[in-house]
Amino acid sequence: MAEDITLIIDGVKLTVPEGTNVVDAARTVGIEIPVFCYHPRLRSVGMCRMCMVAVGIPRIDRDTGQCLLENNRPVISMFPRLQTACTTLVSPGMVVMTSTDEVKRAQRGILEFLLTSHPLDCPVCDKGGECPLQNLTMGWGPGTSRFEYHNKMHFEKPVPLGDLILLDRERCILCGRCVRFQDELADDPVLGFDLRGRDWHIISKSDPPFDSKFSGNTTDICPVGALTTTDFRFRSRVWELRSVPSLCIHCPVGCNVNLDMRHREVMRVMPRENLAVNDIWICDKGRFGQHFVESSERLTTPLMRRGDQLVQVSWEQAFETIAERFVAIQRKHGGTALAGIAGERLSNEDLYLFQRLFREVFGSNNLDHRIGTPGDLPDDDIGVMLGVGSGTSLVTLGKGTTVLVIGANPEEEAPVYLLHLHQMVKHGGELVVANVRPTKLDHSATLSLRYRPGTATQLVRGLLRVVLEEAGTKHLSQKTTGLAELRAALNHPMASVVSATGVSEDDIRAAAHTFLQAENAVIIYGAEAMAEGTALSQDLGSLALIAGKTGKANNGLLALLPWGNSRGVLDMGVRPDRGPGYAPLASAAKEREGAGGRKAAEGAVQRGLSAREMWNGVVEGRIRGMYLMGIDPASAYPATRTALEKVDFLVVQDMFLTPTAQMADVVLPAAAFAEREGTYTNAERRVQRVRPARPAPGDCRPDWAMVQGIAEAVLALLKGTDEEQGTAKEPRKKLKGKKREAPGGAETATESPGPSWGYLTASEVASEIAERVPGYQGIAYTRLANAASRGGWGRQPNESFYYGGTCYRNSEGVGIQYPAPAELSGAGFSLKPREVETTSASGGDTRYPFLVVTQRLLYDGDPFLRDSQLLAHVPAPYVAINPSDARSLGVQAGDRVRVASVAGVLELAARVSDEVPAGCVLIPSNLPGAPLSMVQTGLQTRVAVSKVGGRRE
Amino acid sequence: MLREKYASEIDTLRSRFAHRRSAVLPMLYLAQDEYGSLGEEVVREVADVLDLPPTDIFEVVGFYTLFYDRPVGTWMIQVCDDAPCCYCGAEEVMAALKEQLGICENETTEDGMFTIQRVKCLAACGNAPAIQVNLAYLYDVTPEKIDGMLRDLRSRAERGETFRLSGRDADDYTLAPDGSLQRIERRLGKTPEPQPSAA
Repeated sequence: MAEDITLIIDGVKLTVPEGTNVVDAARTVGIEIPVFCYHPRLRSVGMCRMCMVAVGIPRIDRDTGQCLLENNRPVISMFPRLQTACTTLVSPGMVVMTSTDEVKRAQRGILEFLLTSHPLDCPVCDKGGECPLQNLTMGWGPGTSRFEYHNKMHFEKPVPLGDLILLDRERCILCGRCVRFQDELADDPVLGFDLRGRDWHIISKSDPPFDSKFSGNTTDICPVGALTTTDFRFRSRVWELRSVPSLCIHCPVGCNVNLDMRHREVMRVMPRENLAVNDIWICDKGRFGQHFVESSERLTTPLMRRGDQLVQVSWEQAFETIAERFVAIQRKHGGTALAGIAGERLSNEDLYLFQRLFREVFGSNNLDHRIGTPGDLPDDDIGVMLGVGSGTSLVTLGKGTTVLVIGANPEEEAPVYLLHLHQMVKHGGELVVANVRPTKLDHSATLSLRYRPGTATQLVRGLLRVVLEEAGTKHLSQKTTGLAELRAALNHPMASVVSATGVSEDDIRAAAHTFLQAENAVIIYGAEAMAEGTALSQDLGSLALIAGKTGKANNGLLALLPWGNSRGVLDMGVRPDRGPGYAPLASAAKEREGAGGRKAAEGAVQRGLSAREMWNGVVEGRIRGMYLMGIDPASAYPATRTALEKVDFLVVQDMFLTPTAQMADVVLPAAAFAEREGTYTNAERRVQRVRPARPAPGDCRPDWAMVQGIAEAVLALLKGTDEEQGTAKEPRKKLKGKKREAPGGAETATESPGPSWGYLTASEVASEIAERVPGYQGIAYTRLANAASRGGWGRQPNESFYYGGTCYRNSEGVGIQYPAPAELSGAGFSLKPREVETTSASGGDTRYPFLVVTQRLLYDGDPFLRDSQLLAHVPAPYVAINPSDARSLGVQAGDRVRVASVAGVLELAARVSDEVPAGCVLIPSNLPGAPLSMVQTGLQTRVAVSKVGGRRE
Repeated sequence: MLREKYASEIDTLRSRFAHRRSAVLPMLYLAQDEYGSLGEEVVREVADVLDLPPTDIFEVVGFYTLFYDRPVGTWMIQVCDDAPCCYCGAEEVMAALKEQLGICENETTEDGMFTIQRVKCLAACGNAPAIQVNLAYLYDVTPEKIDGMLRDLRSRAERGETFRLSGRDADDYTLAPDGSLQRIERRLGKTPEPQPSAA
């Protein structure tokens, strides 16, 4: 532990930890020392000289080694010159003066000097109004300048640093914050200084220029208007903006953002501080990829099919029709003839009501959130059971922590985690990265393992073996079963693990050792790991359990699921085999009965159909009606078109008239995340809130409200027909329920099974979730609005020094991380290994010699990228091939190649890269116009590759 | 191309330093000697050889006037115009160069023979004014000797005796009264004493 040091700043005695610099120390007692180049997240460099202070230290008697005293007070000898406070570390008895005449003169001088070449074009500068240079000049600067105005340095006005960021060299004060951010935090050293003297300026020479997924952050920390985004440039004056707290829903990190609104328009997206999630950063997709909200192609009214056309209808007509058709199907074919799929970027409220509609109103478990491609990843349950303990914050990890990243590429799957992991290593943590191919995280890794495709499970079993050898089961504190089976599965020589995985025994032992010995350890696994099936995640769980790395903060598993609410989808039970809170279907049904629901129909207890089974079900006539919410299978998995055409009645609820929506019988227009209330659950099980920033276009409604509209229309119809017919038909008996009050206390209009509908707000739905979904107890909107009471590093009155004015402190809520079952006593876990479903690269069908390694890209065919400048970063569909394979295939980079499997064919542009293991091809999963689903045959797909137009001579 | 042509030299360079970054300066000298100047493509090649971010190499090339980021004449004459040289007549030297060559700073004569440039301190203040000719140092330059110096340089070029553009083996010279270049021994850490002229 760092020792505490007591010093005096401007006559105020204070105590701070050793290693604190004078700027930060002063800040803790509310004394402002102005800075430009210093940023608390970056290394101090003392470049701008703005933070000059007078510093003195006690004079020491050389004979006694004691402080010299005069009148019982230590004699202070002042340094002969002013010191930069940001590079001066506190020392015992130090005396600092921040506002002497000498200091003031220096500050005035620095500002006068900085302004000699500044164009003073504030009226047309995007930073104007939130500019530290403006603020510090007003607070500390001289009113006039002795320099000649016409002698200012002139450069060509903004030059592009990349296609997203512009540099105005005249405004730049050369503090180097952007350069240091890219070097130290983003680990993309793409910015630098060119030339020197008055010609000094920032350059980016990467290819493409400013090649970083975090480039937008440099504009936040730029203390002047030198760096601006093409996205926000000239769009608005900052004082016209109204910040609405929100979230980015693009990936499982769940970064906190502010939507800066002018009237109804989202003018820009800015990071909002959350020390447990994104610190003060966001990635470029979160910043520049939210334009879909304002797309002119948004749906605005419900549409209904009349012949070949979709025509506008009223909400009443839409709901009535849906109810009539669904009830008709339910009556004729049973509730299990209905099926629903919901997307993973919908809020918990939407998803919860969606599954309620199916389970309670229709009596069907035919629910899924996946599209039903052969490559659909299995649902991740271990990742929540043994999930990272509550209180986990990747931002604060450092010495004593080991993070094992396996089968994941955080740069593409959860970009902001890359910043955190890079910092963790800088703070002394250990980072073990195991992948089939190099990723950017390898730069930060303290140990990189390269395993052969399809052998991650064997690698993890190798780790397990070492951990058991070293520590036995002494760390195993949870109640577990299946240890014997696990030991049996590990019972083959280490040499076989080495020969299968291609990882040396030393590396396996070293990785296992650092994992076991660490005080805290987290396992992060991503899409490539999950593609190896549940055997891998089960073994990862066993590894964490046996090493004793579960059930506490900064320990456990962290699954990088694909989207912003992928965890919420599973929590809410939008899946065929589990109810909300991962409850088995029977107990979920019982719970509903206990809550006053009707007796569960047979269909409500039986496992439902998965998305994949649904499509077959439609073709076979078992599924007659479908309800798709926020998902577009026709684009992502074209093979579903047959089923979508065949299904008797199709309801699609979306923001856009997607290819799937175009096939629908009724289309319901959904409000975007920025137009509604809702909660989302991130990868760490942190539940966070979005709030409405703008009115939804036209008649759009939040998804949950539309689900409720359907539910109420169905129930009203059932009630009406029951009364008319008065006969005891089977459906009627089932539907007899007690009249109940909604949790919010609202009296409901319909007699309904289970808790009534009639929610007035999303908050009421959330209250019910808190009441009925295990894990979500107590997560109410009011609690979600609690902000952290303290900033992690103290704050200064004028925050713009630290944020450049453009990242926001969080006063609107940091969310709540609900505890993982591993943290609760009494939970039991199985260590029993599951059967490995994967095949390795070698062997197999000679007609299909290559194994597909699926790659997730941040900038891919994601429909949410529409209208964003990031579309220019989406690569054309490609397949990457190992150079030796390319040679034997006669393929060169840029050639068109056919990638064929048993299931289908894709034509792609070839890339040749030695990052791809021989015998494998790397294909991004979702590039526009080339969904990988077209060739997938399962979690692992084998393909043949040939050059289009025959072999080269 | 560097990689193939200078494979062993590059290997030696890379193995000499603990960090690849330390090999940037010698690699740039090597490249500049090979190509005559360090254009964009050359800098990227050096970055590639050393496996460093290209931006970092551009920073170095931009910072040092030792590295020419655009094509230059057979002789690159760099005049120090920092304070001590200025006091001792650097401006006059510059004026003489401009007049005799008929070009301005940062320009190259039409015959491609000379480029002139102002640079900052060359760390030879003891023998100001100092200039650098293709990275070789010329001490105690006076305007009167410029004519003879240019003549000497021209004749050296005709004989094919130009200096290399690699600062690693640059020599030191003074100018004889007639302006011809006279090589002197470089004394590490010391400002060389002018040697008595042979004339």
